[in-house]
Amino acid sequence: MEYPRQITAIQAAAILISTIIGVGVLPLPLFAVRDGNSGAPLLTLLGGIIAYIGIWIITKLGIRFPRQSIILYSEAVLGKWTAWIGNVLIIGFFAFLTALAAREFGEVVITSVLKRTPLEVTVIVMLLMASLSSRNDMTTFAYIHHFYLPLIVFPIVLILALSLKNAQFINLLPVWGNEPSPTDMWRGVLTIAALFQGSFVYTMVIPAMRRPDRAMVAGFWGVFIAGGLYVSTVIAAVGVFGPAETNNLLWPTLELAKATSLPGNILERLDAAFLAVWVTAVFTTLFSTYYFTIHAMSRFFRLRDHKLLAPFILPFLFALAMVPQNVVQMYDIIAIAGRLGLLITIVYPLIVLLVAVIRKKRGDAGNGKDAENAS
Amino acid sequence: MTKWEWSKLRSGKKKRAPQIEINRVPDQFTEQHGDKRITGDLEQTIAFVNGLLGDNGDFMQRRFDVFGAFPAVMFSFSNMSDTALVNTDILKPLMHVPAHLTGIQFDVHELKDVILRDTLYHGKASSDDRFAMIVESLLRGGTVIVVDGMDEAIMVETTKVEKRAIDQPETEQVIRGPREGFIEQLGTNLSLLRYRLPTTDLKIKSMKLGRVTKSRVAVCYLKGIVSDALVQEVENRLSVIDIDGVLDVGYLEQFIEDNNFSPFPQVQNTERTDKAVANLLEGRVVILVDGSPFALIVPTVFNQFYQTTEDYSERFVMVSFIRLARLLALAFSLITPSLYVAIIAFNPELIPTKFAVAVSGGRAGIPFPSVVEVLMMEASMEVLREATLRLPQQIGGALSIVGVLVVGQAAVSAGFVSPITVVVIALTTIGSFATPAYNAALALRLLRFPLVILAAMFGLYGVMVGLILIANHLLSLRSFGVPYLSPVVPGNFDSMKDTVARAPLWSMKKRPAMLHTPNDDRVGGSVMDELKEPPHNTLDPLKVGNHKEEMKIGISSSNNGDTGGSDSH
Amino acid sequence: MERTRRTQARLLLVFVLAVPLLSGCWDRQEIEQRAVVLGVGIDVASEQTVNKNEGEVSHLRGSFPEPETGNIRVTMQIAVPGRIPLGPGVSGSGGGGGGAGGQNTVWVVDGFGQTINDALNNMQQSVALPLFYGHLRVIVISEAVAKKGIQNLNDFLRRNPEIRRMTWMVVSRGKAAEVMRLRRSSSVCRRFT
Repeated sequence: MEYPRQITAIQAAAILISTIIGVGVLPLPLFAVRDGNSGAPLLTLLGGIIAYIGIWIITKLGIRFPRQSIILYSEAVLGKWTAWIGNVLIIGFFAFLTALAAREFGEVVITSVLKRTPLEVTVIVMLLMASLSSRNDMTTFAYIHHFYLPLIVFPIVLILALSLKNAQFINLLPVWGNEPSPTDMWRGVLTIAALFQGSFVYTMVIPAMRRPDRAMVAGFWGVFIAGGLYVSTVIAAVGVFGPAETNNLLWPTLELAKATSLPGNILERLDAAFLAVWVTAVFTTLFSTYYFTIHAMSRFFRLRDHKLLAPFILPFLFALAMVPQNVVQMYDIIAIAGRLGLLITIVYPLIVLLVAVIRKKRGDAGNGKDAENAS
Repeated sequence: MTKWEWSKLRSGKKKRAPQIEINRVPDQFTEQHGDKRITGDLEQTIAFVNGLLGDNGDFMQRRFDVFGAFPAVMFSFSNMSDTALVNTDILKPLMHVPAHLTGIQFDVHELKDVILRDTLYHGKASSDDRFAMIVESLLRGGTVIVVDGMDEAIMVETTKVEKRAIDQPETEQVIRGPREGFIEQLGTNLSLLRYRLPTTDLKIKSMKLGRVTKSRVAVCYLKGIVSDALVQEVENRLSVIDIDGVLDVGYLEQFIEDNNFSPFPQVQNTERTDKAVANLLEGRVVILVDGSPFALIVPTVFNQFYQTTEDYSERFVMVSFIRLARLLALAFSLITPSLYVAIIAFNPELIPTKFAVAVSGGRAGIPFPSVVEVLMMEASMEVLREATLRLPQQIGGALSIVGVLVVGQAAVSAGFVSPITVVVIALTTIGSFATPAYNAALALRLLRFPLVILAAMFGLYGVMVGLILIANHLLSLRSFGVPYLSPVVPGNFDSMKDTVARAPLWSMKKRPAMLHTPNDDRVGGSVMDELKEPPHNTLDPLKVGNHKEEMKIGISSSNNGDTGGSDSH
Repeated sequence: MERTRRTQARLLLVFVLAVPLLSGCWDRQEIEQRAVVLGVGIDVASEQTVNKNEGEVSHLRGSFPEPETGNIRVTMQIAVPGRIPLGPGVSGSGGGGGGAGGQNTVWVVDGFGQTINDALNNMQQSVALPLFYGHLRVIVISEAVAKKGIQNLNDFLRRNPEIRRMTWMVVSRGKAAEVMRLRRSSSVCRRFT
């Protein structure tokens, strides 16, 4: 039995899950509650569905062009210069996303555990970690995500399970929220869908998959599990704190960890431990987006190898991360940039797909020249 | 394209690149007389050999006449060759014309055949005319006979080097299992392998490495079980080695491993013959070097470092439990000190209040911060360990008592370190001793120092950052193309039966998939069916006197991986 | 030549990156250098006592009018390291009579101020080590304070990431300070743990 050297469907799903679940989980209930009140879980679900549509489009494209990443096939579909704009936007957006994720986690760390450590240090440590690991090849990229998956899913499931005893069902009613306003709801759904957009890295994963035809199944499970965890997190946070209190908390998920304790007093409190374990979740997200950025750049510039770019973009990302003045401004930027990013991660692929269907462009599976091997 | 092929391509590219003239490791003899050949002139030969080796005290040359007619000379190194053997099996038949040859007249040209075929009573005799071969035979303990007028010399292998007895390996002791280990002599080691694998599939390819030591290297594998590409790659990597001496198999390890800068060993070594054989059966390649009692096993994955051979002899539930304990020990040896520092100095809220207050009391008089304390204790522990390692056992025991008990106790009562720190360091040290593979334990021992420093900078966050970096490194490591953490990542259910938990032997039907074995059936297909049949409780008191049911002998088909006599390769 | 230059560049990079890390240990605060707060009691205080006891830490005396919620007196139990024995050996030597100079396992310290933050800052002046709330188990609020509303207190306490959400917040009928000073002979520091 030959063991596959390339990415399997399970690994692809793992990449999706661990990319989607990251530092965004910490403020997620707040985002949902702010716009949806007690309808937060519903909002999250809708956000997940939008995200799934995005994945569906990307996967369709990926199956259509099974040997190329979006940077290359968009050029074939849209023409060189039109695609050029889109690609620059994609690269820039992912660089920004990486920087903001590092910044966000840096803020979390300096607020709750390392209070006297400068923000710059925590941010640069995260970026450095992602940069060092991005020197690996695509197979290792998949291995890393695969390996950390339990470390990401387990703590969040544990926190959810432990907080169930404090949760009250009444806090979740009515499910559609108190006095729902469509504009707010819509904004909230988009904000939450934006938390899923790390899943765009799937465009890079599909060409490296052993069987790109299974990408659809993997994509579904990846978004399904990640979305399920998102919804359960929101349910747990709103169930425990209630919508009003959740609205007061910057990182409700972290508060959830603070409010629970392990039976048997093994650890007196979970928040510091949770945050420590959460470093892996943040790392995988950061790693994915960082890797995607340099991978897309290397394809864009037609470089053979992406390794050299890894340290090269580090200073730029760091500077980007330092742009927001404070945590409030940072979250404003994240919300706006996230919603705008949906244009890049969902609408742009949709355009590419439509044009490809109209122009009847189709990637040649045996096209060796532009083919991306597993490197 | 597989990773392996890719790496081959890459190495191929490198070879094609213009090579700079390397300063070859010197060996004067082959440089000067690489292809000098023997002439019929005896005196000339004697002069030449004497010029080369004559000034050695242990070099011996003896002139005599073959069959009383042909002047000849015999060379050997007296201490390396078996004198009794030389006397009875070489000199005697040559000097005293054997009965069946009496009265026959030979020409000097026929003499070589007569000597080799009709005269010498020795299995390993050959002839050659190249001085390089002759001298090498001499240097390895052979005896060389040169006859006047004969244009080839006769070389007889009479090597007799003292060797130690085969005994239990010191480094890998088991409670249950075979007790024999490799020794320094390659020949003996190969015989030990052959003794356990009487199959035509066992192939032993040999080569010579080391320009001065000319160490014999044996690459052993089971044809048909091992992936041919792997054998080829091992041979390729070995054949490019150019060094003056290979004194231990560890020299080779450093040349053939994939990542030289990694703290983790990517090649396993063992002194145990049964372990080597077990790995051969899994589809790995074993490399032996003359002069080293260790065998290298490639490719290696991380799992192998906490597994021992007796894991497969004991019952599987117990073994799984013990392996869990070993893994725990591994984790202890890596992270305990850094966790301690992180919790004490950054997050004391994690430990129970009573304990926190108690710890705080225990540390009240300590002049150093916990990180300095831990690093100091760790450093002294390393020193102590190194000191006891090299000492004779009697003194070593005493020293460790002095070191651990007296110094530890005194350090605590002197207020130098806190009692909790001593406990933590002890746990760490014990943890690192519980790892079966010394080189893997060494890697973790080394890595806990940076972890402690990271913990001192960023607390738990730092520990996690360190662990992630270590894990990423492990995930990117390959040993001959096999991912280092397989079969966990990339996952393979069948091979995962032998990771932390060990499934029963009958359920591990396949050889590890990561090794790409052409023949991956390990256990016969019908074993389970036969085992599932109701047991014949032959000696059940109720049944005594009953007719014994027909039983099949043996539980599996006889050819699990062995193609037997029909060597079709 | 090329190679050495690359190596040098790499080394330089490593050093540059190491510089921010080497200046580390910003948050390192050994456990024995923290004053472990076990319980906090909050009482009302008259303006006179506050004026008398308050050091001029956060503001000049009398420069601020008394807040609506009134002045505050905070009483705190701080674990005394070393008084709680490691292991079961010498148990229960603390507590006892609890008089001056006795083997108290906890210190009880008072602080006065216009707000709780004020009071805690003042209290820090009388404790050598930085106060550490990670093991805070109970917050006792006297009835008088509670009647004035605890929103402010609650908000303040919640914003401190050291204080766990599981901490009990109770209202005492009498003075919270008296609850803090309660002793039982068998307790070591287990009063609230």
